[in-house]
Amino acid sequence: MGDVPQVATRLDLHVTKDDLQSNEYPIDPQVTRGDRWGDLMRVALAGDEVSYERLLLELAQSLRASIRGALARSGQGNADVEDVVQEVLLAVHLKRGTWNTSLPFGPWINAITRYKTVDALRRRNRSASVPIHDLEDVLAGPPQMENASADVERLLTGLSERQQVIVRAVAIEGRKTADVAQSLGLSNGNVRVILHRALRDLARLLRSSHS
Amino acid sequence: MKTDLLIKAMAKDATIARNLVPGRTCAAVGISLLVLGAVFVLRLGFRPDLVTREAQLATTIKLTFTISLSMASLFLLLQEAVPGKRNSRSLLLLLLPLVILLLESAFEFWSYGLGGWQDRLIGSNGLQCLAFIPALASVPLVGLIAVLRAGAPIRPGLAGMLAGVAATGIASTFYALSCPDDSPLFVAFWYGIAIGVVAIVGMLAGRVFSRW
Repeated sequence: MGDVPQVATRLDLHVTKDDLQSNEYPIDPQVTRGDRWGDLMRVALAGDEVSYERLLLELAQSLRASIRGALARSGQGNADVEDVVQEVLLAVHLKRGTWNTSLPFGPWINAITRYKTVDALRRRNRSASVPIHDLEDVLAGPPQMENASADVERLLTGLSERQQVIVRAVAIEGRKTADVAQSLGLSNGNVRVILHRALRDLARLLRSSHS
Repeated sequence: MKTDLLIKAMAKDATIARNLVPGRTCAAVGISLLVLGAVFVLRLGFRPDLVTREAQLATTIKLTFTISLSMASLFLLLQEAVPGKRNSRSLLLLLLPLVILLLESAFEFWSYGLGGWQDRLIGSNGLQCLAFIPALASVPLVGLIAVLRAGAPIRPGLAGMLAGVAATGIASTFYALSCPDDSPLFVAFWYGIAIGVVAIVGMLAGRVFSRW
Protein backbone atom coordinates (compact mmCIF):
# COMPACT_ATOMS: atom_id res chain seq x y z
CA MET A 1 0.00 0.00 0.00
CA GLY A 2 2.61 2.50 -1.08
CA ASP A 3 0.20 5.39 -1.52
CA VAL A 4 -0.85 5.40 2.09
CA PRO A 5 0.80 8.05 4.22
CA GLN A 6 2.75 6.75 7.16
CA VAL A 7 0.48 7.69 10.00
CA ALA A 8 1.87 8.32 13.41
CA THR A 9 -1.08 7.29 15.50
CA ARG A 10 0.84 5.90 18.40
CA LEU A 11 -0.98 7.39 21.28
CA ASP A 12 1.01 8.77 24.11
CA LEU A 13 0.47 6.47 27.02
CA HIS A 14 3.26 8.03 28.98
CA VAL A 15 2.27 8.99 32.49
CA THR A 16 3.80 12.09 34.01
CA LYS A 17 4.72 12.61 37.62
CA ASP A 18 1.75 14.91 38.02
CA ASP A 19 -0.57 12.15 36.92
CA LEU A 20 0.74 9.85 39.56
CA GLN A 21 0.45 12.45 42.26
CA SER A 22 -3.07 13.52 41.46
CA ASN A 23 -5.67 11.46 43.21
CA GLU A 24 -8.43 11.84 40.70
CA TYR A 25 -8.08 8.28 39.52
CA PRO A 26 -8.41 4.87 41.14
CA ILE A 27 -6.18 5.08 44.10
CA ASP A 28 -3.80 2.16 43.76
CA PRO A 29 -0.66 3.68 42.21
CA GLN A 30 0.51 0.26 41.07
CA VAL A 31 -2.56 -0.04 38.89
CA THR A 32 -2.62 3.58 37.81
CA ARG A 33 0.95 3.64 36.62
CA GLY A 34 1.07 3.17 32.89
CA ASP A 35 -2.51 2.06 32.51
CA ARG A 36 -4.38 5.21 33.38
CA TRP A 37 -6.62 5.03 30.32
CA GLY A 38 -7.19 1.38 31.01
CA ASP A 39 -8.42 2.24 34.49
CA LEU A 40 -10.71 4.90 33.07
CA MET A 41 -12.08 2.39 30.57
CA ARG A 42 -12.60 -0.21 33.29
CA VAL A 43 -14.76 2.10 35.37
CA ALA A 44 -16.43 3.36 32.19
CA LEU A 45 -17.44 -0.17 31.25
CA ALA A 46 -18.91 -0.47 34.73
CA GLY A 47 -21.12 2.50 33.86
CA ASP A 48 -19.13 5.52 35.05
CA GLU A 49 -20.17 8.17 32.52
CA VAL A 50 -17.93 10.92 33.92
CA SER A 51 -14.74 8.85 33.66
CA TYR A 52 -15.76 7.70 30.22
CA GLU A 53 -16.29 11.23 28.98
CA ARG A 54 -12.90 12.19 30.37
CA LEU A 55 -11.23 9.24 28.65
CA LEU A 56 -12.84 10.09 25.30
CA LEU A 57 -11.83 13.75 25.62
CA GLU A 58 -8.22 12.78 26.31
CA LEU A 59 -8.24 10.29 23.44
CA ALA A 60 -9.69 12.95 21.13
CA GLN A 61 -6.94 15.37 22.03
CA SER A 62 -4.25 12.79 21.45
CA LEU A 63 -5.79 11.73 18.14
CA ARG A 64 -6.30 15.27 16.88
CA ALA A 65 -2.58 16.00 16.91
CA SER A 66 -1.53 12.89 15.02
CA ILE A 67 -4.38 13.07 12.51
CA ARG A 68 -3.66 16.72 11.75
CA GLY A 69 -0.07 15.77 11.01
CA ALA A 70 -1.06 12.81 8.86
CA LEU A 71 -3.53 14.85 6.80
CA ALA A 72 -0.97 17.59 6.27
CA ARG A 73 1.61 15.08 5.09
CA SER A 74 -0.78 13.62 2.56
CA GLY A 75 -1.51 17.09 1.23
CA GLN A 76 -5.06 17.37 2.52
CA GLY A 77 -6.17 20.39 4.48
CA ASN A 78 -7.29 20.47 8.06
CA ALA A 79 -10.95 20.44 7.14
CA ASP A 80 -11.39 16.73 7.80
CA VAL A 81 -9.54 16.49 11.10
CA GLU A 82 -12.62 16.42 13.30
CA ASP A 83 -14.41 14.02 10.95
CA VAL A 84 -11.57 11.53 11.28
CA VAL A 85 -11.33 12.04 15.05
CA GLN A 86 -15.05 11.35 15.35
CA GLU A 87 -14.82 8.25 13.19
CA VAL A 88 -12.01 6.85 15.33
CA LEU A 89 -13.75 7.70 18.60
CA LEU A 90 -16.96 6.06 17.45
CA ALA A 91 -15.01 2.93 16.54
CA VAL A 92 -13.42 2.87 20.00
CA HIS A 93 -16.87 3.35 21.48
CA LEU A 94 -18.62 0.66 19.46
CA LYS A 95 -15.82 -1.91 19.75
CA ARG A 96 -14.86 -1.37 23.38
CA GLY A 97 -16.58 -4.60 24.35
CA THR A 98 -13.81 -6.48 22.56
CA TRP A 99 -11.22 -5.22 25.05
CA ASN A 100 -10.45 -7.92 27.59
CA THR A 101 -10.26 -5.89 30.80
CA SER A 102 -7.66 -8.21 32.29
CA LEU A 103 -5.21 -7.30 29.53
CA PRO A 104 -3.33 -3.98 29.24
CA PHE A 105 -5.29 -1.25 27.46
CA GLY A 106 -2.34 0.13 25.46
CA PRO A 107 -2.06 -2.54 22.74
CA TRP A 108 -5.83 -2.57 22.23
CA ILE A 109 -6.35 1.17 21.95
CA ASN A 110 -3.28 1.60 19.76
CA ALA A 111 -4.41 -1.14 17.40
CA ILE A 112 -7.97 0.20 17.15
CA THR A 113 -7.04 3.83 16.64
CA ARG A 114 -4.26 3.06 14.20
CA TYR A 115 -6.45 0.81 12.07
CA LYS A 116 -9.35 3.27 12.01
CA THR A 117 -7.17 6.29 11.31
CA VAL A 118 -5.38 4.63 8.43
CA ASP A 119 -8.73 3.38 7.11
CA ALA A 120 -10.34 6.83 7.26
CA LEU A 121 -7.36 8.58 5.67
CA ARG A 122 -7.06 5.94 2.97
CA ARG A 123 -10.69 6.44 2.01
CA ARG A 124 -10.19 10.18 1.83
CA ASN A 125 -7.09 9.78 -0.31
CA ARG A 126 -8.99 7.55 -2.67
CA SER A 127 -11.98 9.85 -2.98
CA ALA A 128 -9.67 12.82 -3.58
CA SER A 129 -9.26 11.87 -7.22
CA VAL A 130 -8.50 15.36 -8.54
CA PRO A 131 -4.95 15.51 -9.88
CA ILE A 132 -2.69 17.24 -7.44
CA HIS A 133 -1.52 19.98 -9.85
CA ASP A 134 -5.09 21.20 -10.13
CA LEU A 135 -5.04 21.84 -6.45
CA GLU A 136 -1.95 23.97 -6.32
CA ASP A 137 -3.92 27.16 -5.81
CA VAL A 138 -5.83 25.68 -2.94
CA LEU A 139 -2.74 24.29 -1.32
CA ALA A 140 -0.90 27.58 -1.61
CA GLY A 141 -3.79 29.49 -0.11
CA PRO A 142 -4.41 30.18 3.55
CA PRO A 143 -4.98 27.12 5.74
CA GLN A 144 -8.56 25.98 5.75
CA MET A 145 -10.61 26.56 8.84
CA GLU A 146 -10.89 23.48 10.97
CA ASN A 147 -14.37 22.15 11.48
CA ALA A 148 -15.53 23.77 8.28
CA SER A 149 -17.09 20.50 7.17
CA ALA A 150 -16.98 18.65 10.44
CA ASP A 151 -20.60 18.95 11.29
CA VAL A 152 -22.18 15.72 12.31
CA GLU A 153 -25.26 17.94 12.42
CA ARG A 154 -25.55 17.26 8.71
CA LEU A 155 -25.26 13.53 9.38
CA LEU A 156 -27.77 13.66 12.21
CA THR A 157 -30.46 14.23 9.63
CA GLY A 158 -29.73 10.71 8.39
CA LEU A 159 -31.00 9.30 11.68
CA SER A 160 -34.59 8.57 12.53
CA GLU A 161 -36.54 11.36 14.18
CA ARG A 162 -36.59 9.69 17.57
CA GLN A 163 -32.85 8.99 17.40
CA GLN A 164 -32.23 12.65 16.60
CA VAL A 165 -34.36 13.85 19.49
CA ILE A 166 -32.51 11.60 21.93
CA VAL A 167 -29.01 12.36 20.64
CA ARG A 168 -29.72 16.10 20.80
CA ALA A 169 -31.20 15.83 24.27
CA VAL A 170 -28.23 14.01 25.81
CA ALA A 171 -25.46 15.69 23.82
CA ILE A 172 -26.58 19.28 23.39
CA GLU A 173 -28.89 19.71 26.34
CA GLY A 174 -26.78 17.40 28.50
CA ARG A 175 -29.80 15.63 29.93
CA LYS A 176 -29.71 12.24 31.60
CA THR A 177 -31.19 9.29 29.70
CA ALA A 178 -33.64 8.62 32.54
CA ASP A 179 -34.83 12.21 32.26
CA VAL A 180 -35.21 12.00 28.48
CA ALA A 181 -37.03 8.71 28.88
CA GLN A 182 -39.57 10.26 31.19
CA SER A 183 -40.34 13.18 28.90
CA LEU A 184 -40.71 10.84 25.92
CA GLY A 185 -42.78 8.34 27.83
CA LEU A 186 -40.27 5.54 27.25
CA SER A 187 -38.31 3.33 29.60
CA ASN A 188 -34.75 4.27 30.44
CA GLY A 189 -33.48 1.05 28.92
CA ASN A 190 -35.37 1.80 25.75
CA VAL A 191 -33.77 5.23 25.41
CA ARG A 192 -30.33 3.75 26.00
CA VAL A 193 -30.87 1.22 23.25
CA ILE A 194 -32.07 3.91 20.84
CA LEU A 195 -29.04 6.04 21.73
CA HIS A 196 -26.71 3.10 21.21
CA ARG A 197 -28.20 2.33 17.79
CA ALA A 198 -28.06 6.01 16.88
CA LEU A 199 -24.31 6.05 17.55
CA ARG A 200 -23.87 2.89 15.52
CA ASP A 201 -25.79 4.46 12.63
CA LEU A 202 -23.79 7.68 12.94
CA ALA A 203 -20.57 5.69 12.60
CA ARG A 204 -21.95 4.09 9.46
CA LEU A 205 -23.07 7.43 8.02
CA LEU A 206 -19.74 9.05 8.80
CA ARG A 207 -17.95 6.17 7.11
CA SER A 208 -20.05 6.19 3.98
CA SER A 209 -19.91 9.95 3.61
CA HIS A 210 -16.29 9.51 2.50
CA SER A 211 -16.31 6.33 0.49
CA MET B 1 -22.25 18.52 16.02
CA LYS B 2 -18.86 19.18 17.46
CA THR B 3 -16.69 16.37 18.72
CA ASP B 4 -17.26 17.34 22.35
CA LEU B 5 -20.99 16.91 21.92
CA LEU B 6 -20.55 13.56 20.24
CA ILE B 7 -18.39 12.54 23.20
CA LYS B 8 -21.20 13.55 25.58
CA ALA B 9 -23.60 11.33 23.66
CA MET B 10 -21.15 8.41 23.76
CA ALA B 11 -20.57 8.91 27.51
CA LYS B 12 -24.31 8.57 28.09
CA ASP B 13 -24.07 5.23 26.27
CA ALA B 14 -21.36 3.98 28.65
CA THR B 15 -23.19 0.90 29.81
CA ILE B 16 -23.98 -0.94 26.59
CA ALA B 17 -20.78 -2.77 25.71
CA ARG B 18 -20.88 -6.43 24.99
CA ASN B 19 -18.34 -8.73 23.48
CA LEU B 20 -20.35 -10.84 21.05
CA VAL B 21 -17.33 -12.78 19.77
CA PRO B 22 -17.47 -15.79 22.16
CA GLY B 23 -21.23 -16.20 21.84
CA ARG B 24 -21.23 -15.94 18.07
CA THR B 25 -18.33 -18.39 17.84
CA CYS B 26 -20.26 -20.98 19.81
CA ALA B 27 -23.35 -20.37 17.70
CA ALA B 28 -21.40 -20.53 14.42
CA VAL B 29 -19.62 -23.76 15.31
CA GLY B 30 -22.69 -25.33 16.90
CA ILE B 31 -25.04 -24.57 14.01
CA SER B 32 -22.42 -25.67 11.48
CA LEU B 33 -21.98 -29.02 13.21
CA LEU B 34 -25.75 -29.54 13.21
CA VAL B 35 -26.21 -28.57 9.56
CA LEU B 36 -23.18 -30.52 8.34
CA GLY B 37 -24.20 -33.46 10.51
CA ALA B 38 -27.62 -33.44 8.86
CA VAL B 39 -26.14 -33.20 5.37
CA PHE B 40 -23.76 -36.00 6.26
CA VAL B 41 -26.54 -38.30 7.42
CA LEU B 42 -28.89 -37.48 4.54
CA ARG B 43 -26.46 -37.23 1.70
CA LEU B 44 -23.01 -38.63 2.45
CA GLY B 45 -23.17 -41.34 5.10
CA PHE B 46 -20.28 -43.30 6.58
CA ARG B 47 -18.09 -45.14 4.14
CA PRO B 48 -19.47 -48.69 3.88
CA ASP B 49 -16.24 -50.41 4.89
CA LEU B 50 -15.88 -48.51 8.15
CA VAL B 51 -16.44 -51.75 10.03
CA THR B 52 -12.96 -52.99 9.06
CA ARG B 53 -9.90 -52.26 11.17
CA GLU B 54 -7.95 -50.91 8.17
CA ALA B 55 -10.62 -48.41 7.25
CA GLN B 56 -10.98 -47.28 10.85
CA LEU B 57 -7.25 -46.71 11.16
CA ALA B 58 -7.03 -44.88 7.83
CA THR B 59 -9.99 -42.68 8.72
CA THR B 60 -8.51 -41.84 12.10
CA ILE B 61 -5.28 -40.78 10.41
CA LYS B 62 -7.22 -38.47 8.09
CA LEU B 63 -9.16 -37.06 11.01
CA THR B 64 -6.01 -36.14 12.95
CA PHE B 65 -5.16 -33.84 10.06
CA THR B 66 -8.61 -32.29 9.58
CA ILE B 67 -9.30 -31.87 13.29
CA SER B 68 -5.89 -30.38 14.08
CA LEU B 69 -6.36 -28.02 11.13
CA SER B 70 -9.79 -26.94 12.41
CA MET B 71 -8.56 -26.40 15.96
CA ALA B 72 -5.43 -24.49 15.01
CA SER B 73 -7.17 -22.17 12.57
CA LEU B 74 -10.14 -21.59 14.87
CA PHE B 75 -7.78 -20.64 17.69
CA LEU B 76 -5.89 -18.23 15.43
CA LEU B 77 -9.15 -16.81 14.07
CA LEU B 78 -10.28 -15.92 17.59
CA GLN B 79 -6.94 -14.27 18.17
CA GLU B 80 -7.25 -12.22 14.99
CA ALA B 81 -10.87 -11.29 15.64
CA VAL B 82 -9.92 -8.92 18.43
CA PRO B 83 -7.07 -6.41 18.44
CA GLY B 84 -4.32 -6.24 21.00
CA LYS B 85 -3.27 -9.86 20.91
CA ARG B 86 -1.57 -9.52 17.56
CA ASN B 87 1.23 -12.02 17.37
CA SER B 88 2.32 -13.13 13.93
CA ARG B 89 4.51 -15.89 15.33
CA SER B 90 1.46 -17.81 16.55
CA LEU B 91 0.53 -18.29 12.88
CA LEU B 92 3.21 -20.98 12.96
CA LEU B 93 0.57 -23.06 14.70
CA LEU B 94 -0.78 -23.76 11.21
CA LEU B 95 2.37 -25.78 10.61
CA LEU B 96 1.12 -28.40 13.06
CA PRO B 97 -1.50 -29.99 10.74
CA LEU B 98 0.98 -29.64 7.90
CA VAL B 99 3.65 -31.55 9.82
CA ILE B 100 1.09 -34.21 10.72
CA LEU B 101 0.24 -34.64 7.04
CA LEU B 102 3.92 -34.80 6.08
CA LEU B 103 4.60 -37.46 8.69
CA GLU B 104 1.63 -39.46 7.43
CA SER B 105 2.89 -39.19 3.85
CA ALA B 106 6.37 -40.23 4.91
CA PHE B 107 4.89 -43.21 6.73
CA GLU B 108 2.98 -44.18 3.62
CA PHE B 109 6.09 -44.03 1.44
CA TRP B 110 7.90 -46.09 4.03
CA SER B 111 5.24 -48.81 4.07
CA TYR B 112 4.19 -48.88 0.38
CA GLY B 113 7.28 -47.60 -1.38
CA LEU B 114 7.40 -44.98 -4.10
CA GLY B 115 5.73 -47.09 -6.79
CA GLY B 116 2.28 -45.96 -7.92
CA TRP B 117 2.28 -42.78 -5.83
CA GLN B 118 0.60 -40.91 -8.67
CA ASP B 119 -2.39 -43.26 -8.55
CA ARG B 120 -2.71 -42.90 -4.80
CA LEU B 121 -2.51 -39.13 -5.11
CA ILE B 122 -5.21 -38.92 -7.78
CA GLY B 123 -7.35 -41.54 -6.03
CA SER B 124 -10.86 -42.24 -7.25
CA ASN B 125 -13.03 -39.52 -5.72
CA GLY B 126 -10.97 -36.41 -6.30
CA LEU B 127 -13.57 -34.38 -8.10
CA GLN B 128 -16.30 -35.36 -5.68
CA CYS B 129 -14.06 -34.25 -2.84
CA LEU B 130 -13.42 -30.99 -4.60
CA ALA B 131 -17.14 -30.37 -4.98
CA PHE B 132 -18.28 -31.47 -1.53
CA ILE B 133 -15.70 -29.92 0.74
CA PRO B 134 -16.13 -26.30 -0.41
CA ALA B 135 -19.92 -26.71 -0.51
CA LEU B 136 -19.96 -28.00 3.06
CA ALA B 137 -17.44 -25.34 4.12
CA SER B 138 -19.72 -22.53 3.01
CA VAL B 139 -21.91 -23.08 6.09
CA PRO B 140 -19.23 -22.56 8.77
CA LEU B 141 -17.61 -19.86 6.64
CA VAL B 142 -20.72 -17.68 6.80
CA GLY B 143 -20.90 -18.17 10.56
CA LEU B 144 -17.23 -17.39 11.12
CA ILE B 145 -17.41 -14.22 9.02
CA ALA B 146 -20.30 -13.20 11.30
CA VAL B 147 -17.93 -13.79 14.24
CA LEU B 148 -15.42 -11.42 12.66
CA ARG B 149 -18.09 -8.77 12.23
CA ALA B 150 -18.73 -8.89 15.96
CA GLY B 151 -15.04 -8.45 16.61
CA ALA B 152 -12.66 -5.81 15.35
CA PRO B 153 -10.11 -7.52 13.10
CA ILE B 154 -7.31 -5.19 12.15
CA ARG B 155 -6.18 -7.57 9.41
CA PRO B 156 -9.57 -8.42 7.88
CA GLY B 157 -8.07 -10.31 4.95
CA LEU B 158 -5.96 -12.57 7.14
CA ALA B 159 -8.83 -13.08 9.58
CA GLY B 160 -11.14 -14.00 6.69
CA MET B 161 -8.55 -16.42 5.33
CA LEU B 162 -8.33 -18.14 8.71
CA ALA B 163 -12.12 -18.35 8.72
CA GLY B 164 -11.90 -20.08 5.33
CA VAL B 165 -9.29 -22.55 6.55
CA ALA B 166 -11.23 -23.31 9.74
CA ALA B 167 -14.45 -23.77 7.75
CA THR B 168 -12.71 -26.18 5.39
CA GLY B 169 -11.23 -28.03 8.34
CA ILE B 170 -14.69 -28.61 9.81
CA ALA B 171 -16.18 -29.55 6.42
CA SER B 172 -13.40 -31.98 5.56
CA THR B 173 -13.73 -33.67 8.94
CA PHE B 174 -17.24 -34.74 7.93
CA TYR B 175 -16.20 -35.52 4.38
CA ALA B 176 -13.29 -37.68 5.53
CA LEU B 177 -15.74 -40.00 7.31
CA SER B 178 -17.41 -40.84 4.03
CA CYS B 179 -14.58 -40.72 1.52
CA PRO B 180 -12.87 -44.09 0.84
CA ASP B 181 -9.65 -42.52 -0.46
CA ASP B 182 -7.20 -42.88 2.38
CA SER B 183 -3.80 -41.92 1.07
CA PRO B 184 -2.29 -38.85 2.78
CA LEU B 185 -1.15 -37.92 -0.73
CA PHE B 186 -4.78 -37.78 -1.81
CA VAL B 187 -5.61 -35.67 1.23
CA ALA B 188 -2.68 -33.34 0.62
CA PHE B 189 -3.61 -32.85 -3.02
CA TRP B 190 -7.41 -32.69 -3.16
CA TYR B 191 -8.16 -31.42 0.32
CA GLY B 192 -5.27 -29.01 -0.21
CA ILE B 193 -6.90 -27.55 -3.32
CA ALA B 194 -10.24 -27.26 -1.49
CA ILE B 195 -8.57 -25.53 1.46
CA GLY B 196 -6.81 -23.11 -0.85
CA VAL B 197 -9.98 -22.21 -2.73
CA VAL B 198 -12.06 -21.64 0.41
CA ALA B 199 -9.20 -19.74 2.05
CA ILE B 200 -9.14 -17.31 -0.88
CA VAL B 201 -12.92 -16.92 -0.77
CA GLY B 202 -12.63 -16.34 2.98
CA MET B 203 -9.94 -13.73 2.51
CA LEU B 204 -12.08 -11.80 0.03
CA ALA B 205 -15.16 -12.17 2.24
CA GLY B 206 -13.16 -10.94 5.22
CA ARG B 207 -11.99 -7.89 3.32
CA VAL B 208 -15.49 -7.03 2.18
CA PHE B 209 -17.71 -8.07 5.07
CA SER B 210 -15.62 -7.79 8.20
CA ARG B 211 -14.39 -4.24 7.72
CA TRP B 212 -15.61 -1.93 10.41
